[in-house]
Amino acid sequence: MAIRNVVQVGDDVLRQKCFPVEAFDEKLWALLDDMKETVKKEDGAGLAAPQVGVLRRVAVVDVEDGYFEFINPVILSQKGEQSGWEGCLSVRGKSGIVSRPMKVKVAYQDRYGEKQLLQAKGFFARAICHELDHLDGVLYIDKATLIEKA
Amino acid sequence: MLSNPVYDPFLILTKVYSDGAHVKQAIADTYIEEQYRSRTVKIVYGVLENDGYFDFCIRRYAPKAPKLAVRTILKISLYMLLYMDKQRYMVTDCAVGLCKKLGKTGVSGFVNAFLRRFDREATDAAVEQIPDETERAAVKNSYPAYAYRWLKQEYGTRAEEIATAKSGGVSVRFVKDEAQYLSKPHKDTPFPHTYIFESFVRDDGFDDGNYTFQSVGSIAICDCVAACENLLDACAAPGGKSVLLAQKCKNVTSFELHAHRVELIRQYKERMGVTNVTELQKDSSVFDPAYEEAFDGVLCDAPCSGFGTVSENPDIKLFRKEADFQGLAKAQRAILETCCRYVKTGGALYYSTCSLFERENDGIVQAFLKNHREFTVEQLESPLPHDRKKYGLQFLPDRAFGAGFYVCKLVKGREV
Repeated sequence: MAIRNVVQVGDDVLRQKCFPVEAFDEKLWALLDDMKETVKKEDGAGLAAPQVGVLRRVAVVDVEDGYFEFINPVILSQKGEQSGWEGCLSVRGKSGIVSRPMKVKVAYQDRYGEKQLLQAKGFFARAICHELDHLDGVLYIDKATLIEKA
Repeated sequence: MLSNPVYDPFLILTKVYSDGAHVKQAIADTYIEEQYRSRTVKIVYGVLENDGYFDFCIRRYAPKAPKLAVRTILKISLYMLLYMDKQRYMVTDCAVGLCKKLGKTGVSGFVNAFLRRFDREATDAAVEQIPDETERAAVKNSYPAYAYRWLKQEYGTRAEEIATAKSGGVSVRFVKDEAQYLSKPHKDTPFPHTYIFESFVRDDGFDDGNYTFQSVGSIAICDCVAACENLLDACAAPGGKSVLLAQKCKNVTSFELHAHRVELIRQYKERMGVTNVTELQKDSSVFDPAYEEAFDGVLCDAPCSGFGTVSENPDIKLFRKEADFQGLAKAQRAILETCCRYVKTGGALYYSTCSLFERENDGIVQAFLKNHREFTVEQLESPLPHDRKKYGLQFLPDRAFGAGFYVCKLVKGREV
């Protein structure tokens, strides 16, 4: 396990569309373990693979509801709307108000390739949406209605 | 006794114009002939609603700016002439008669001449000559120019409909025995047991707490508040929202700044037979540690310009000045700043006003969010027609039975 370097805004890797994960092997597990260690150390609410320079559809979310690993995640449905503050480990020193769905239903695979379904609301839903955006090269600063220095 | 139809409206309007009294209070405080009450009230409201336009009329025919009493007589006369289809000779006769009754025989000649010369078409043509579009619309609709400019900025072509929207009627919320009243002409609202009547005469059922007069906007705000155990209504008088919310919240605490208005809440809840509302005299902009994180929900129905209710309170258009908005914003921010500390983590803070303007609504919410990253705005839903703003719901008088209100829900969570 190792702490990986978090790429900062301006780096092209944050703007790419990530590739689906096909091999659920030890290389993926190493990536997931490193991401866990990194997000815990940075005290983030989540981390997506491109933020550590890996263009794969992998994200982790660490919120009060628990710690989750999402591989090849897809939002199936969303409901409601919330607006609140977000920060990003790849956009240091800033935060902004972003509008997100209140509730989301997500289909994804776990680290063993098993299909999973999950419903999230509130801040958990916000964190999922934020991380999933990373997998398509989208940052919260593209969507924020207000951005301030943290 | 032969009554002069201009006299009672004159007494009431003088209190409004010269003492700055609220129109409802002025009507309540004036002894008026009961049999002509509805006509008197109609004239009073009609004059206030059209005050800006009447000022323009008077300026045009009397550039020397007559004294307040004379202006008031002229405005009443203009209302009767233009909006009640009264004959010119009759209106003139009433006005001249009133001048004499008031001992102002000196001006009766001027009033007589004014009303004879006044020509609506020529006046309206002159209104159309006003070069600035906003100024022109402001005169035409008797709306303060600054406020009309804001409407235009925020709502574009809809500004005129919003500015001229009429009151939907009398909004009545029933607790029991509603069936006997529903034979009278009324409109349904999206809310249960709530109807809007063309007119509604208060009877014993009011004192028995069978029904209450509550604006549909106020009911819509309560509808947005989620049921919870302990709720604080931070700016509660006269108590309409507290009493309605007591239906779905176990305990309602009602803060009110002024002692005499705390009394209004007590009377209201007792009339309605509600026992789970506790009213207290307290300034919601001064923090009291006794209530820190004490509530699951806190409603801040903040003091505001009231522009959402001008169809009910036309005097707002006369007295509310652009400079007032700074002080209002300061009070609005202070109340949110204080009351947010009374909300438990996971609980909700609701901010509402009866204003149409961003600066009192989303603008205040955004300023609050800047300092409080632990709060997240949750989008609300309402069955009453509304516009979705960036954060809150805006009810507008042209589509919501004359009601202009705003409400926003903020949930207290973790700091990002």
